[in-house]
Amino acid sequence: MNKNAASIPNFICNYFRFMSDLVRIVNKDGDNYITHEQLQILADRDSVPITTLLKLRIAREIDDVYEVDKRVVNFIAFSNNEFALSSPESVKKFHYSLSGLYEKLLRSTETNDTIMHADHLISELRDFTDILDSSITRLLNDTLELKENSQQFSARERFDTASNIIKEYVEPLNEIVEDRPDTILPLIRNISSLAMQKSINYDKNVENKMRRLRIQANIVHESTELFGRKIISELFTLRKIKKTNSILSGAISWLEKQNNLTPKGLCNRFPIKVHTKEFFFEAIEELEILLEGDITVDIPTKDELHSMRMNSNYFHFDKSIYIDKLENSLPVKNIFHWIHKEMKANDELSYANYCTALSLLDEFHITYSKAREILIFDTCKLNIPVAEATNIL
Amino acid sequence: MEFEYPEKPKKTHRIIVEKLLKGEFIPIGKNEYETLVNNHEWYKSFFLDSFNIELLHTEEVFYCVNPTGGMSFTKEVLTVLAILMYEISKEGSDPIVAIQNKEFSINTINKYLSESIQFSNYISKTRIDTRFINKLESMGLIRKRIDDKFTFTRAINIFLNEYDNLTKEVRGLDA
Repeated sequence: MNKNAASIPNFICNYFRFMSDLVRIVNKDGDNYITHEQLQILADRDSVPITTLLKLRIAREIDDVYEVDKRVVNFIAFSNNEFALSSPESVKKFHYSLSGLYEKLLRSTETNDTIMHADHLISELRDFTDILDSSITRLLNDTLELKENSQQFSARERFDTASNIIKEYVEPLNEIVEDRPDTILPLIRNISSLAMQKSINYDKNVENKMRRLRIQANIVHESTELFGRKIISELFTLRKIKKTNSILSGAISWLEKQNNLTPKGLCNRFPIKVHTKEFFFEAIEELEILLEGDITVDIPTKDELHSMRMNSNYFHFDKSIYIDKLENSLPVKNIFHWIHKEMKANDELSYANYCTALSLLDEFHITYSKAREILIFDTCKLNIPVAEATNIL
Repeated sequence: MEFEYPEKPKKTHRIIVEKLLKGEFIPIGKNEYETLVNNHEWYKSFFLDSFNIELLHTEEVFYCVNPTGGMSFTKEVLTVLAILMYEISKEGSDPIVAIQNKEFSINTINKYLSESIQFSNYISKTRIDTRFINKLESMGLIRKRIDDKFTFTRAINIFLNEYDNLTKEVRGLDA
C-alpha cells in the first residue's frame, strides 16, 4: 500500500466542512470547477492549505479556475446525500454505452471475452442506477422549496423555475426512461435475456457471471421503472405549479399593467342585426324559386330610405346599437335625457319613436331621483324624473 | 346543412341563443349545456351561419367572445378575481383550488379587497355590491347558495385561462 494512502481521507476528514462547501459549489453548476476567489474565501475561512489540496491532487489548476477531482466530489456528495443534477444527456449516454456493450457480449464466443464484457455491463448498469438515484434525490431536493411555496419567490419566478426544470430536466429524463421500443428499458430486458441464453452450455465461471449479470439487469430494470414513476409524478406536480403560477402571475400582471393588456371580450353582448342585406337577397332568391320566375326588386338607396323614414311612420328602432352606445357612455346622469338627445342627433326623434326607445330602460340599472326635467317634442312636452343609469344589467 | 331544429324544446333554443348573444356563459350543470353538447355541430354551424360568430367551448362551458364591445364588466371581473387570488395565495392556500371550490360571499370578498394594500393603487373600487354579484349570476359565472353564499361555476376557468394568456402576452411585451 502507498505510504501516503491515508493522506486524502485524512485531509477530507480534517477539513470536512471546507470539502462539503466546495462540493456544494461545484455541484451547483454541474461542472467540477471553482474560481480562485471562491476557493480562497473558503480556504481562508477554515485555514485550509491550498498547496496540500493541490499536492494531493484533490484539485488541479486549469487556466483561471480549479478543477476538483470527480471521484472526490462524488464521494463527498454521496456522504452528504447531495448530488449534482445530472444532465439528461449524461443519462442518455448510458443508452449508447450499454447498447455497445450488449452488442459485444452478443457476438463474443470466447470465455474470457464473454466474462470481460459481462463485467463491463454489470459495472455500467450499476453506474446507470447510481446516476438515476442521485438525479431523483437532487431533483426532489431542488424542487422542495418551489413546492412548499415558502413566499420567497414571486408567482412569476415560480412559473419560470417550474417551466425551466420541466423543459430542461424532467421531460427529457422522462423520455429516456419511458418504456418504448427505442428506449433503455427494452435494452435492459434484452441484456437480461441474453444473460439467460449465455448461461446455458457454458462453463461454471461463465454461468455464474451470467447469473450475476441477469440479476443486475433485473434490479436495474426495476429501479428504472421506479425512477420513471417518480419522474412522472414529479412532472405532474411541476406542471400544476407551472399552471397555477402562470395564472397567478397573469392576474398580478393584469393588476399592474391593465392599460397595456387586452383581454378577450368575455361577457360582451353582440350587436346583432339578423336582417342583413345577405338575408334580404337570399329571401329574393327563395321567392324567385317559389314563383318560378325572375322578380324585380327596387332597393332604396340610403338617402331614399332616410327620406322615407322622415316622411312616413316607418321607424325601425335598432336597440342593440343604442345599448352599445349607452353602455360606453356610462354612467349617464339622466337616461331619459340621454335617449332624447341621442334620437335627436340621429333625426329619429318623435314622441312615438321616443316611447318605443324607452324599452332601453329594461337593460340598465337605474336610480330614480326626486328631481324633474322637461323634454320637448314636436307634439308635446314631457315632465320626466331624473334617472341615473350606472350599469348594464 | 339541412336547416332543421334538433330534437329539443324551442324554448331552450331561444334561451341558448339569447344567453350566448348576451355574452353569457353556459356552464356544465345547466339544461342548456346538455342541449349544446348533444347538438354541438348543429349549434356551431348555426352561430357561424346566422351571426358569423364562433361558438367556443371547453369540456365545462359554452360561450362566445365579442372583442369589440365595451370591456367594463370583463375588466371588473378580472380585477376582483386577481386580487382575490393574490390574497388567498398570501394565506398559503392554492388560489385556484379555492376559486374553483370554496364558498364566497360579498362580505368575504370585500374583506379581501379592503385588506389588499399591495394593489390599492391599481384599482378604482375596493368594494363589490349586490349588483355585481347579480350580474355574475346572470352571466353564469356563479351559483347562489343559501345565506348569501355563492360558488363560482366552471365558467370561471375561462377567466383563469385568460390570466394564463395574459402571462404569455406580458412575456411578449417584456421580450
